[in-house]
Amino acid sequence: MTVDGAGVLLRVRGLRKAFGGLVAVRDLAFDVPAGAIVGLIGPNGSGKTTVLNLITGEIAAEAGSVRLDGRELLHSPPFRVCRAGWPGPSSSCASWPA
Amino acid sequence: MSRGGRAGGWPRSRLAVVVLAILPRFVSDYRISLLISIFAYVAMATAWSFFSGATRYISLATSAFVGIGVYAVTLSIDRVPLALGLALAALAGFLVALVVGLSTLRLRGVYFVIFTFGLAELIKQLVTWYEVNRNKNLMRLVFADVSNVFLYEVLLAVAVLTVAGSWLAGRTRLGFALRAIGEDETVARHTGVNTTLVKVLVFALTASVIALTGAVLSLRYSYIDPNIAFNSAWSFQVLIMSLLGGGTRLGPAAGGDSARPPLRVPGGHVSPPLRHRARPLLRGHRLLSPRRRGPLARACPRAGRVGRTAA
Repeated sequence: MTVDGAGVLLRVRGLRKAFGGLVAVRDLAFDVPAGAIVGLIGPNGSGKTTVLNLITGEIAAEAGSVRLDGRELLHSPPFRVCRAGWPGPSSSCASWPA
Repeated sequence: MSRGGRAGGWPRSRLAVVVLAILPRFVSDYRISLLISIFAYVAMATAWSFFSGATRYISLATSAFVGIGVYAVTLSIDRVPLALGLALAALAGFLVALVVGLSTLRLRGVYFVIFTFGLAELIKQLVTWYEVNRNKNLMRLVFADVSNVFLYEVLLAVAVLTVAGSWLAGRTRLGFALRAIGEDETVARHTGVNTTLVKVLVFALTASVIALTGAVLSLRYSYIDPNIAFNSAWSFQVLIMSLLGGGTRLGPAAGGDSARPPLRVPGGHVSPPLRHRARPLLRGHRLLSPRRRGPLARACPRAGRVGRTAA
């Protein structure tokens, strides 16, 4: 997989999502370099899963930009995000029934 | 059946088709009409099961598509050649299912079931309203000049193509996508399946088979009205056949075959006792057997387990 000039594979900018009055994700921005192993940590209800769901398109974001491999994915449905190279279901989708 | 081994399975089924194709020369008219009904049920149950069995979207809209096929061919029979009328029936079923699919396949579970049932009733009432208020006559005569053998051959072809088509399509990406949707739609979406496209396309394709079958069957009616064309019994009979037949490729066909005589009992057409007729069904039923993967067992995986614990 190729990366842009700065060696960034996943670039997130200004990501925002509110559920009614609750702002779950406010102007999130981060870069993930190619080959890096990164963690997304935070207390319960801080919006970790929401961020992943925004990236995969499971939930529609209100604003921002998600670029994987240079391709804008923000308004793509999940199957397109998957075909663009996103590695499949997040932790909320178990491989077998719980 | 797919598990029977390809070398032995195909020639046998080809032989069966050849035997069925020449059968009308040797059997009575009554048996021909019986087989006509069976072929129709085989085609419908197989088509229904290809979508609803795999995806677990239980559709009760079968009667809507049958009725659309019936009316399409009845309205066009005096104006265009019969083959074109049948094609129009299939097309009408496809288009209506396309519109319905786009608006309803967001619904899950019992909501989808109720909506499809309501849709069939809605279309029936709309047609009734039109016939009463515009056509000023609820009844339409069917002037089809076709023989029983012709219907037999057409429906045999439809049934064979449907069974073979669903068997082949089940092994393509589309078939796997359908089953993935049935297993877990969210995961399917996140693993690259365009779930909306797959669902709507297959729903519409199977609806066109159902509409075509209804259209062919209507050629032996002398007249139709909305209650005949949109008879909701179709929806339930086709569903029951698929449940009885189970989740294998030939299962729905077998269900259509075996369920047909007993299901006529409520209409009072079959003289032997119901128990006698129904026994082979009850013995082989696959409703709740998770191992044989009957659609009902797949739709509610706990039902089979509950039954076994109680026993």
